[in-house]
Amino acid sequence: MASDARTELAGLLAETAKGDQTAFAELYRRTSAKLYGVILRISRRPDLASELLQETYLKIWANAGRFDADRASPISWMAAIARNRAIDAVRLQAERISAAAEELEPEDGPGLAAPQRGPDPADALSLRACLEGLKGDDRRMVLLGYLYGLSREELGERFALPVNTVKTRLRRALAALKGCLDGEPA
Amino acid sequence: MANPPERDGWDDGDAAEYVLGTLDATERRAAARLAATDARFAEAVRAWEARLDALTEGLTETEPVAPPSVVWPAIAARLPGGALRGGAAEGAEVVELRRRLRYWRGTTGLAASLAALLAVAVIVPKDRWAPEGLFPQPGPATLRQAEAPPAQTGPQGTYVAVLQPGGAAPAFVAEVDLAAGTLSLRPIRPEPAPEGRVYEMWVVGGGRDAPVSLGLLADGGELPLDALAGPTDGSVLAVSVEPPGGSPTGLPTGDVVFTGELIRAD
Repeated sequence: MASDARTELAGLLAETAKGDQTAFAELYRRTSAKLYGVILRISRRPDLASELLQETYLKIWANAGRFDADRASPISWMAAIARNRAIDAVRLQAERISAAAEELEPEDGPGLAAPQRGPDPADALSLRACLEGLKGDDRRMVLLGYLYGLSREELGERFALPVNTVKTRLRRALAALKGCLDGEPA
Repeated sequence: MANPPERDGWDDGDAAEYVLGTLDATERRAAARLAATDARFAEAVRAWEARLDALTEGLTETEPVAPPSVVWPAIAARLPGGALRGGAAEGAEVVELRRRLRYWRGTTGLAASLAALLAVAVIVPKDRWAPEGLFPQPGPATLRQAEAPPAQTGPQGTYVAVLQPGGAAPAFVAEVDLAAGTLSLRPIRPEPAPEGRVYEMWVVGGGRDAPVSLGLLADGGELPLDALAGPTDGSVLAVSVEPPGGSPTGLPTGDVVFTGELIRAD
């Protein structure tokens, strides 16, 4: 059961927060392939990805005490750390191999958790609904940015748009998303 | 714009794009600084993290990819008390190793899923090897190079590697005398290689283009330590499961059951 796994991961994180290296090793064993997949997809550099995975887990080790099981699922909390680290690396280190994210099928509305697996089913549902309210390309830009770590430049290449236009459309899309999620007019 | 610029030179779109990850390097650095110094910006960032959190869950549905086996030892080495502390005083190393070995032995009753077993390879000159104190585990060395090459002006020094697999695996203490060219292994938790298979030890990394075999562990054969005569720092010891006689290709062909980075310890 997914919820059992979630409970166990939360328990391992709690033990990790107390400095239990056995629990941390088990946490690594269970989650590293997922986080490595996330990092690899964003960084596209296997050589870099190993180092990023290492740094990600050291950050998880250091911050495990901040994990709040009421606010996030363990795996998404950890994935967010991995994603942040990977985006830092690709953004702040110039020479990224800029392979376009061709494997993404933009029509899928990919990457939204099945509702029952999200931190809060209502959150996942409402985010999905709000994303679906965006224009197709705007939605794809948001998803490609978040899930694949594409920069404005890379989004511009992919959508054949000037960078400034990408920025304008991203901001418009995010503002609309905020309005939708927060229940206010954008 | 839907969000007019706010007082402090940023607007909510900056926080949104920071979380989304689309800011360029300069902007991202500035946003990170701002998040650390401006409570209102930090709050805006947290709000966006919460809004997009369901997407983060989606992140984890990307196809899992098994990470290279060298990653975990490198992480373990950097934890408090990690045995791979390059440059640490030897006394502290020894205490730490003893503590960790006792600790890992003590966990043998745990479920196999928790058995992130520890194998320790110690590369230490012979005269500094203290078996009765450091590793009081009984049992003879299972492997010792019979004819050590004469000591020369070759590599010297103490190196430590913690070989820590992700799953259950046997654990060894390896005593390697670089000067004398001998390597002996003593099992801590001996577990034979799978039926019809043997263990083969490799050294990888440290500038080597490909893994270099150090020999078979199970058949008592010699470990040609001259293969270790190359760079030691940054090298990784790895043990793979191979067909009888060892890898037919000269490269590991079976599962790598544990690895550990060699770190200078003196």
